[in-house]
Amino acid sequence: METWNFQLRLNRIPTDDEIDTLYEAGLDDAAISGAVVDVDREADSLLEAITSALVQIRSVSDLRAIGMLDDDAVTLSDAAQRLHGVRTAESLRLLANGERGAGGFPAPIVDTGKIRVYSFIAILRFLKLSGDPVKEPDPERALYGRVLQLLHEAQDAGRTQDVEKLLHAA
Amino acid sequence: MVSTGRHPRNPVAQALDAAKQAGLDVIEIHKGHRWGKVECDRCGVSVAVFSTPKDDDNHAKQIVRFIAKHVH
Repeated sequence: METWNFQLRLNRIPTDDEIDTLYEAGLDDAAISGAVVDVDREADSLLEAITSALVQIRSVSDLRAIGMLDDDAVTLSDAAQRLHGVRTAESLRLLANGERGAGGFPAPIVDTGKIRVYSFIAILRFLKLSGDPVKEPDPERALYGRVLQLLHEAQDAGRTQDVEKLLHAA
Repeated sequence: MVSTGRHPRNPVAQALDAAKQAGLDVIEIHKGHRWGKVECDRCGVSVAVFSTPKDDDNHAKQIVRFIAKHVH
């Protein structure tokens, strides 16, 4: 099992009471800011982590996730996940500390002494210049985000069954 | 009686210290599962801070990610 970080965009901002409901539904591993849910979830796969969060969001009446966000603020572990094996978290840590490579790794945006958060775009830029075969955007997350957007459009149009039929037939 | 001042989970308390140092407001609420919130007074956006998050270190990271997005 791995801890997966992802951000879901909601169709509206939950009330304070609804935030409590979301916590009780199992989103005690998330931070809720406006209409964004930032989740760090243990699961066997990113898909499993996302789908379990989607179900929990629906515990609040008429609340649902309508897309994913490409959060630019990442820890090195978050960045390694999104790089899909191009670099491990340890490799990024060595680069960040100047223990490997020619230097120039972007400085963190925030460094609390215990937690360092970087700009993912800056990390990608650095790795591309270093010759790493990075894929941008993350194809897996981009796909899931598009699916959520599609479902949102279908639900808004009252055509969810149409989409299901198309998926089964394709 | 609800104790106030410092979050009971040390990693979260340290992240909240970082939020204050970054110029964000840390507001205690102590209602339901919400210990409080971190608020950016420039854009008015806030993030809820739970009293008993599932994982202290991850909740601290979530707060620090929020700080990073509000370094104006």
